[in-house]
Amino acid sequence: MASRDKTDPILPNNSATPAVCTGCGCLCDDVTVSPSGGSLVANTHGCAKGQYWLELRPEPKVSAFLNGRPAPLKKAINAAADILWKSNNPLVFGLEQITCESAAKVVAISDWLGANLDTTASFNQGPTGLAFQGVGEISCSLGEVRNRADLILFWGADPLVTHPRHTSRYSIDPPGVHVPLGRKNRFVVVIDSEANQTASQADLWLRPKPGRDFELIWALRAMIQGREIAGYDSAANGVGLEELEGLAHRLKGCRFGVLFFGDRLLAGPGHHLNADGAVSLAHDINAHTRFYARPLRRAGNPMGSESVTCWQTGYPFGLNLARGFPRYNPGEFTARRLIDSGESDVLLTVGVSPGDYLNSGNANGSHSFQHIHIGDGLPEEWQSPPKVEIRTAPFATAASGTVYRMDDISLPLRPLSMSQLPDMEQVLTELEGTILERMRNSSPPTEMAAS
Amino acid sequence: MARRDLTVLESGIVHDPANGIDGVVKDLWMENGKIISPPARLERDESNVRRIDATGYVVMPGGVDIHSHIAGPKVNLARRMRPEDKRQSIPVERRVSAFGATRSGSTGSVPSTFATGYLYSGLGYTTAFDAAIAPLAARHAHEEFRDTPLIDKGFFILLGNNHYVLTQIAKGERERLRAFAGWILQAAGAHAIKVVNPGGVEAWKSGMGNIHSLDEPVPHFGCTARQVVTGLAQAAMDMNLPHPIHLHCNNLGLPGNFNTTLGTMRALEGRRAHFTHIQFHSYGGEALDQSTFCSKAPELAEWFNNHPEITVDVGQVMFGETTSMTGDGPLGYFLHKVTGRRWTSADTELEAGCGIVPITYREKKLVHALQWAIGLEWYLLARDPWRIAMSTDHPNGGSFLAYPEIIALLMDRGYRNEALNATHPGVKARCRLADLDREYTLNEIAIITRAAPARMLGLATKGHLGPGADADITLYQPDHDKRRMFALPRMVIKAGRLVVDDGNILSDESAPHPTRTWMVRPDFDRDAVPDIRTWFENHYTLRFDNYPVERERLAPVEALAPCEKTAR
Ligand code: SF4
Ligand SMILES: [Zn+2]
Repeated sequence: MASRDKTDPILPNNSATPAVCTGCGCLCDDVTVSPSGGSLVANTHGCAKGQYWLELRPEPKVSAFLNGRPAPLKKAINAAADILWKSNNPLVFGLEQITCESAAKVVAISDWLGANLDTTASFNQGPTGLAFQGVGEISCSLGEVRNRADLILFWGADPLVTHPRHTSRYSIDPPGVHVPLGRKNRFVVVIDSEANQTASQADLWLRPKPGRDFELIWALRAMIQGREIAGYDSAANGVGLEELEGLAHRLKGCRFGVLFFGDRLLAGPGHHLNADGAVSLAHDINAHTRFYARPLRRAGNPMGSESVTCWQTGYPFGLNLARGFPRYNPGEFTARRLIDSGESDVLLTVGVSPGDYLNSGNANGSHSFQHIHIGDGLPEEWQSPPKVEIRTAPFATAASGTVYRMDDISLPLRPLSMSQLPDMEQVLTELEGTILERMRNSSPPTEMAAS
Repeated sequence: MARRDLTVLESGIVHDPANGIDGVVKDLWMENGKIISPPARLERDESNVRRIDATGYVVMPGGVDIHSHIAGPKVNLARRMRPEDKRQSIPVERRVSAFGATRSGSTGSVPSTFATGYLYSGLGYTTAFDAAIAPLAARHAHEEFRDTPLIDKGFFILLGNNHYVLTQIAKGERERLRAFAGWILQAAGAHAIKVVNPGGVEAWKSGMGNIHSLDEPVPHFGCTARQVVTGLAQAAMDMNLPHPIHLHCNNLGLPGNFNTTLGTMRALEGRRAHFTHIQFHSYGGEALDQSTFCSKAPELAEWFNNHPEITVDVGQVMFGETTSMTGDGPLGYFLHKVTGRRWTSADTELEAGCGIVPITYREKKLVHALQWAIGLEWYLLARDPWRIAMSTDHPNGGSFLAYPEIIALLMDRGYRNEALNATHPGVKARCRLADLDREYTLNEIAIITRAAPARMLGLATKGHLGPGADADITLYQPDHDKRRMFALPRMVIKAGRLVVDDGNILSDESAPHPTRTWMVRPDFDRDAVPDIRTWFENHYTLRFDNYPVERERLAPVEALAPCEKTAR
């Protein structure tokens, strides 16, 4: 296994170094970083989001805290192990800004503890996961899109904002083997009820009334299957039947089409049915031509950690290991419910900013669980300080390991700068070792966290 | 002098066909994870020699699975698609004890990684190869291997629909093809070349259907399936790879496909090749008329028996629920249409396709029952057990956990005929299974489950128990019930360490000799790399330098390198 402790900093080396940007699910690996005045300058080919992502920020001087007060790292790890080991119903959550190697450790820790394990996928991509189980998925790597796709459909997605180089690297502009003229060989459709920047580049923008995506999906499915459409309400849905028929015609007639769906298709009531519908639509179109459906994924490595969770347990998220083996029940074992219901007495967050997901469900700022956090520093807004906090080397610029692009293609992440903070994988390895030691010896904890 | 760290397995009934040993009571000595010659008398009597009493037990080398699907994106997609399949199966429980700790896992037709390692090991298997990894998915496969304990592993990379390969074959660039194959085997950390539905997957990805005959040109490339098969078979031989091309022919599963299979065997003109899951390629009948479906295993077996350059594994179908997963994209879609069940597919740029469909094989369904019978015909008709390996094409025909059942069917004619009688009554008229009264001996079982697959894979230290072999050993309690005997080995030793005792997994690792991943390091023309790089950067969506799997990320590696030259 790679040693993480002796990574050469690139700063002294004056040349541009290739890097992988994890600023969004595109995981562009054609960017470079160069040292300049003690910091890094990233050339992300015009992507401001990526440039911001790869910026070096001042690091906290202290890496470990107990009850909000600085503490030696080893002591913090021991305290975390004790709290977790004594917990009745721990919840382990996050795994966004994390390498696969670290994610593997988190799953191992959850297994030893018999914890609930959930990733941020249960918030953004849960519906997609459920759809995959319901109907299967039809996916392809982004290079297939680049080389073959002559029809691109963004549904509830605005990649120019969320995945800035998606269109130029993979989907709209680049010439490919079977689309040598790039943009000219492609028909681009956006379906989105809200303002959408990508629509400015599209050949067609359909703007359903908010919450009416489901009706459109089902009407399109019926058209593609050649069935009668009854009770379609053009006015209420915001898109006329003829317009939709025109689109159905194009979907059937393309040579290779791809539907990318974004968070907006998956948000709101019935979202699970939308994801299901999107994948089913792709199924239907395959009776006529090659057609694929893919979700757009967020920054970090959510794809990779979901993959790791799945190969180690058989399930991608929303699982519980309390009985000594994995059980899967999204809804029951997902973070939102376990927090809201107060069922979990300990929350371990790793590689995530918990406030992005968990704050809203607990507005009064108090919580019933003991919190342990490992990852980048917590933002000020996050409730009260955790019982144990361990700040690890920044994921974007200092992590080393494997990460997965939104299309399941893995890439090696190499550190771009030296960090004074501890490496996450090492922290997790030590935490796992400490917990296992406690379990093996089955002796009472040696050091009380709260004392 | 330092005292040696010796272990002896005493007085077992040893079946080691590779060394001509057929049920002889003898001791086996081990040191540093290897089998050794018996040491000098003085050392034998040392008090620190670990002694394992094997009296009365059947002793065989650890099992070797030549064709299985246990890692990589395709397998992981299948896990994700099928939570219900796992819920109905007994999971593996986590254990923490003073001995060591073992992880939990889910099972069903596609077990999680740790469970896969434990289940194989618990079955007495110590080595398994994944049969279909797109080179772009190699890193992922290695990652899963790292989390698959107790077995040695390796994989084959999909090259039969790779654009660079198709281009070189169309241009007749034999040298360049070989250089590319050598380069990509190393970049991926792979053991052999896999060919799946040559040209057909690419045709499907282009929206042009499939390839149904050996001489149809592949759309946009112009070369034929025949040229792909012979070109890659030749490249593998030129590089002297330990395992020849691992070949999944065109038209898998279709009535009448035996013509394509036979045509492919002929096309090789003496070149070596391994025909995988041959059962699925041995059908007679008209493409559009199911009532004509019948076995052509006898015809193919006759060719096979007369052509020593060909090896096969069976791809036995077993009755029950499983998951079909294949690098054959169009086949996945076909199965989805036939079964009406969920379908997952995932295409990889410039390289490969994939299809996943749940499937239930029913004994009262004529086609399924006949598939089952054809698999058994193959085992019984193949005269040379050294050229046929047991497989279910896990999980396609069924789980590897069905091997004990297959062994029982092969060793016990009465049991087999009972099973045959319980299937669809139309089967007997469409195949010769009822007339075959051959019964496998224990030694023949040892050949087709370990000695032969190890030899076919070119693994000199596997599949036998002579000095220098890896100390991977399985002990069975002799039993007239062969299912019970082979389902529950009495002990399993991995690299000299006892890892399974009476069905209990003792440890996650075979430390101090951890499990390894096998890969080849053939010589190739490095002057070809700049051209490959240019092509790569023009076609892929990632940088050339990010493509090869980083060595430091791999589990310990067993490299066969460079492959020794022999004249052809
Ligand atoms: S598109 Fe995404 S991955 Fe690419 S440079 Fe911009 S933020 Fe980074
Ligand atoms: Zn297979």
